[in-house]
Amino acid sequence: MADVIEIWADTQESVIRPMTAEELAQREKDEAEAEAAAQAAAQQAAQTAAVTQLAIAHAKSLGFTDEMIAVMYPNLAP
Amino acid sequence: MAGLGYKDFTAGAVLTAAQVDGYLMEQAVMNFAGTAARGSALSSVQAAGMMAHVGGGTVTVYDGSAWQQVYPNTPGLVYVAGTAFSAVSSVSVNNCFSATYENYVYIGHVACTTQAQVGLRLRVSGTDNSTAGNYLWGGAYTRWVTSATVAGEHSSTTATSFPLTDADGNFSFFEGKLFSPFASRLTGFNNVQAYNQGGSLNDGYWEAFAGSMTVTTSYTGFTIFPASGNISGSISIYGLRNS
Repeated sequence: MADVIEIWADTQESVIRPMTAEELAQREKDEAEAEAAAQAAAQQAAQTAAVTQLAIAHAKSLGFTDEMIAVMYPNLAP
Repeated sequence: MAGLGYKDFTAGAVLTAAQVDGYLMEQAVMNFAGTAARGSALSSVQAAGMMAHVGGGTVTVYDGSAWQQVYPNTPGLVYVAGTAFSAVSSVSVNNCFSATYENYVYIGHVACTTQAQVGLRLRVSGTDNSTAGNYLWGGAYTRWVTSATVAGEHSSTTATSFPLTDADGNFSFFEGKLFSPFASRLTGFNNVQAYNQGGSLNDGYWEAFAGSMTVTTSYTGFTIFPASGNISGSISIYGLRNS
């Protein structure tokens, strides 16, 4: 269901009505853009997580402990 | 001299001139044509607590050093419009911006049926401005969870709306300002929101956004909407007096 509540400040009128065709088209566009943005963000997060794991593994191979890594690279959360 | 308070006169009691002044004259809301007439009549006797009507329905009170207007009340923040809403796809507020106020404050809360960003679009003549790139904004956030606190930023030069909430929220409180939306110049925007991410009480989030329109359109209203799903909540809009 895609209802809109519309109010008028000057007359205090208020209506709840279905979306117009134009509003529905804009909503579909907004939803598609939000989904694309969410996918891009998820991809970026996955990439960041992978690089983070590589960085932590590399630091450990050099002898650093988790505590040392956390102090030196506070943004490198496992 | 200030008024004398209250006296219960008994039958046959002598009413003195001082009592008339103290119990009646100085405790009434006196009526004058204007502030000049009030000054002429009272400048030598005015005392804290005296009240006078100075024409046009304006009531003043002497605070001990100056006369202050007590009615009509002229607060700096004036309610313009607001509404509660439940399970709707968008909320449009028309004719809330006018030449009466230059800047506006809004405050509210919103619950989304899905985790979705809630945006704000300016509108005029019943039509939202949804042009990509007309909304320029940036934001900084702090997120605190049980294991860590993280910070970051968001921004957009291609947006079709200003953000009221971040995309990960599904229950948010927000407040913000719109600068000169009715004037034919750039409209400014700032907004602060707080929420529990994903509804988790262990995962909180705060973000401040600020931005500007890139076009100088005069707007008379706005629409708030979720990127997906429906929203419930409330929003109120206030005008800020310049004087």
